[in-house]
Amino acid sequence: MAKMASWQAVAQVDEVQEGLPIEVVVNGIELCLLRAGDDFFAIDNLCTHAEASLCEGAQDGRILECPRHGGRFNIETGAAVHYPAFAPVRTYPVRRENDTLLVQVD
Amino acid sequence: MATTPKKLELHDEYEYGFNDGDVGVLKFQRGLTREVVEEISRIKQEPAWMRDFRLHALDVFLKKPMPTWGGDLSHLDFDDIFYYVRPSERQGRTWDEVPASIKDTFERLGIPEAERKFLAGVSAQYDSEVVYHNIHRELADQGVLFCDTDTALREYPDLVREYFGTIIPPEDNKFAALNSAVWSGGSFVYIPKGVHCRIPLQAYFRINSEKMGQFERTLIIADEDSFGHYVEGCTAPVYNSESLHSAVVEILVKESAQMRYTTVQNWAPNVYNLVTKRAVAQKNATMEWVDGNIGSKLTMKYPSVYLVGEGARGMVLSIAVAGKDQHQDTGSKMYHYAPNTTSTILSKSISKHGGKTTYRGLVHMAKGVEGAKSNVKCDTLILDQQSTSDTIPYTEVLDSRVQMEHEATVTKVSEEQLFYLMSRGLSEEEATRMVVMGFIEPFTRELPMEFAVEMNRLIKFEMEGAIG
Amino acid sequence: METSAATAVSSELRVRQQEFFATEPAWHRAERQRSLTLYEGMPIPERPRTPLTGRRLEAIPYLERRPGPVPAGVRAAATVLLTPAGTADVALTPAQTAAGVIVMDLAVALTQHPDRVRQILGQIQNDAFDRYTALNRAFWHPGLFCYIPPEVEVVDPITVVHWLDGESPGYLPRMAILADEAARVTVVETLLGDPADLHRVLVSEVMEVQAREGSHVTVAGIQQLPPGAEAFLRRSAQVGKDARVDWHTGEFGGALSVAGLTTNLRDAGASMSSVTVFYGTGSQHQDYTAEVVHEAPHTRSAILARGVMGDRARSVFTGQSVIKKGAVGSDARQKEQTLMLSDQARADAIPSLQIDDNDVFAAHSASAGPVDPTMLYYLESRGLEPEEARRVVIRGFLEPVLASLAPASVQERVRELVETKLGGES
Repeated sequence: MAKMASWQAVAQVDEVQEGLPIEVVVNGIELCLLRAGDDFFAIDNLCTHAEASLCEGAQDGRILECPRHGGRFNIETGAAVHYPAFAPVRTYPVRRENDTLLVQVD
Repeated sequence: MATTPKKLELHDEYEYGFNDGDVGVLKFQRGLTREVVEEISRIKQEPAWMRDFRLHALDVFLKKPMPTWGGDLSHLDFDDIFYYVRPSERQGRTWDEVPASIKDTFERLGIPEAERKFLAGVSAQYDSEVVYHNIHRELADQGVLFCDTDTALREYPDLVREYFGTIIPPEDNKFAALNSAVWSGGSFVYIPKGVHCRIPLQAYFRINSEKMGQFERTLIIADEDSFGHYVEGCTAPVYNSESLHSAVVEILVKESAQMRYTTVQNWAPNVYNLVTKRAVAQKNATMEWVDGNIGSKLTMKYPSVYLVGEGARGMVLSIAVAGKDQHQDTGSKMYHYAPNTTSTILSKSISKHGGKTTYRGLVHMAKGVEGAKSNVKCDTLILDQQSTSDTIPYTEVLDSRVQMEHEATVTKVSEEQLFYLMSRGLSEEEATRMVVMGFIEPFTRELPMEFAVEMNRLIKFEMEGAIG
Repeated sequence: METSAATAVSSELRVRQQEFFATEPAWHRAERQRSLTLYEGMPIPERPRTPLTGRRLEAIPYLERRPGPVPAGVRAAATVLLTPAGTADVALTPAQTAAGVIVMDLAVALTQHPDRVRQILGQIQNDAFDRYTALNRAFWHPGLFCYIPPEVEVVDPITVVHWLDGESPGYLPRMAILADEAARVTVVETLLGDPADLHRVLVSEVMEVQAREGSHVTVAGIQQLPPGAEAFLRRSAQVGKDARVDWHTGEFGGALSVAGLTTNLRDAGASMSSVTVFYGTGSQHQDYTAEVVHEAPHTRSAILARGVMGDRARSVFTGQSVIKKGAVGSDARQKEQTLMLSDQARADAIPSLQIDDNDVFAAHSASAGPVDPTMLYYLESRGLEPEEARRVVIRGFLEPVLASLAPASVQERVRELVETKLGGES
């Protein structure tokens, strides 16, 4: 399958700072791109609990809090770690090539 | 504990001997500030984590905007409220000061004399001491913990810390944040594994706390395979000069446990009743909310169940009655997060004398919940031309292997029914009352007996003058 | 307040507007200008369950005119063909002409029937509803005006084909249908394009219908837009005393379809019905609103919708039945059902009732579920392959609403489109 083709460049490394996630759109899907230390993560921007943009939430290391009702997710695994969030949020593999970040979206 | 029955002072000093003259204390004013929150925590001698939790919640409360949906909150003045009243400062009320309409309702409902004074905040005593002791002995035998939340924080700190705020974080909504900052009172219940609580746990019989506090915080944990029934409220109007009641109820029903939470409340017509109630039901657990909302200027309340384990069941049975200048904005939220979960919502609303009822509910079927089923039925009776009703149900289905059904009707009392009853000798008023009683029967038959009796009397009273 | 860049954009649009519509009467050009100001002040609409920012709609140069070729045969036997280039010749039957039925290019009607046009244009759909209705009022092209004189019953449907030519980045049709007292007419519009055409096009259609006393208007709309279309469709009707409007819609195409239907039952005895079939596949996003406002006594409404959602498609269905105070003796009903075919699809439904009088009846129901496994088992045990069994059950689910679609040509066409979707569904 064309696996290589599904990696898409989404941002430059210094566009994403820890605690300041950015929203990117890939194949019509809104994603939230985050940084924790030197690691990068990509998750669906839409909270699994209700309509809300996770990118506008508060990030504490690998935990992201949804701004609308306070549900929390682990950005690495996608698991919900605090109510009212329960269903996990989808994660996408992220790769760094020099100063560019790529996300794999099928 | 004293061996001779002690007079239960409504304005009792807290047990741990707080003394008015001790320290240069802040005299509580109206309005909400950081100092007020710190003082509440200090007076209660809370551990640091709870103080920090309150202060964080205050920040959240100040940042969150007012909701733009639901009822009209524009006249709610946060600066004009006492967020905490120390027991020693509580003003005694004289019977004369109690509004005539409240006294009238007590009369119509046949509330006993002693109880009337207690409910109206006039009387300091209610001779429940003996009953109280008996109940608590029974519970102690079974290992059930039941006390007010302040006491629980002191006596079972680890248990409280493990669960407090985990189901409803302060960030959930503005009023949950407010409650999290200034909460006081409310119930704490823990039912151990396998225990079937033989008696209903009634808020009435908690000791040493304000019976109908403004910012009650309730936490109930039903451990695996246990059974419990918690009952709060009463059909008599709760006379409270403070106009904001913002409670939070968190319930965890563990695997195969069953919990029912019954509330019947009839708030005075000046009260904003804004409540966040949520339960989490694990594998094969059952959670039932039986919720009766009468009175208040505005009630916003949506008892919810998160069905997180396979086979969990959630049920909400509610009625809402809105009269003149009243708005009941109520409903339920069911989240199906596991397979083979079921939810049932039966909501009955009545609006009369220009009142407004709104059903606002949500059923969410997440991905992967094969075999989940939900059934929602909302019926509304609008008794006269001045009254109105909205039904706004949200359904979100993200999996194909589920069944979701929702049905609602809005109508007036059927003329055929009235005609039939009147042809049997009933007056129009009596006939209407009968139809209304029949309408809410699925709800009243689930109430504990003494509530059901009072409920019937209350509806009879509410229906007076409800024609035309 | 405006930056010089914004002013530059604004004056460029004004120039373009003047250029496009130079030959129109002054009163109409003034209305377009007013609407352009409105449009410029409005942001992209915020729809709670339809995120629009990620769709980058403003990157589509929808105000550029680049009409493309129209293949032969697209029009078939339609009364009129509308394309980004304009309104083609109208072919009325002799009977229709004799009866005084008017169907013409709206741009021409502005000059030939200004009084009639002004009675309806902009009177039923509020221009300021959102950015895309304001856009339509400012730049609509092509347009169609239909007028049916009193007592005239138009037997053959007036059929309108909209063809998206695969090159134009924008399509802003405007329809105005005025049925005079006791008139009867059926109007069928089909929004079409080449199914292989992937280029992005922004569609913003506004249709206004006025059904005067005692009239009966049936409007059928089949939406089969090409895969790159981002469509905003607004259809509104005002229904007079004892008049009736029946809507029949089939929604199948486009990447995004935000379709709103609003009916005002303005006078006593007015009634409406709406039957919608929608079928979402791929990653389509379908956002439908059916709204009816009962303003007068003894008015009736029935909103019916059945949808099938497969693949990763998402639908939002909002039903809004409003009964105002004084609308006694009214009856409002809604029924919405969705069949879910896949676990990546999503269906949200918000059937709401707003009732301000008690001497009425209102009810709604909504349900969602999978293809019935018992039915599948039964059919497979009768020798059908699993895929064919599935298709039989899906057809069965849609059948009641398909059977009630009118006129016959529309029902036939919708059935064909369902088969196309069934054939491609995973």
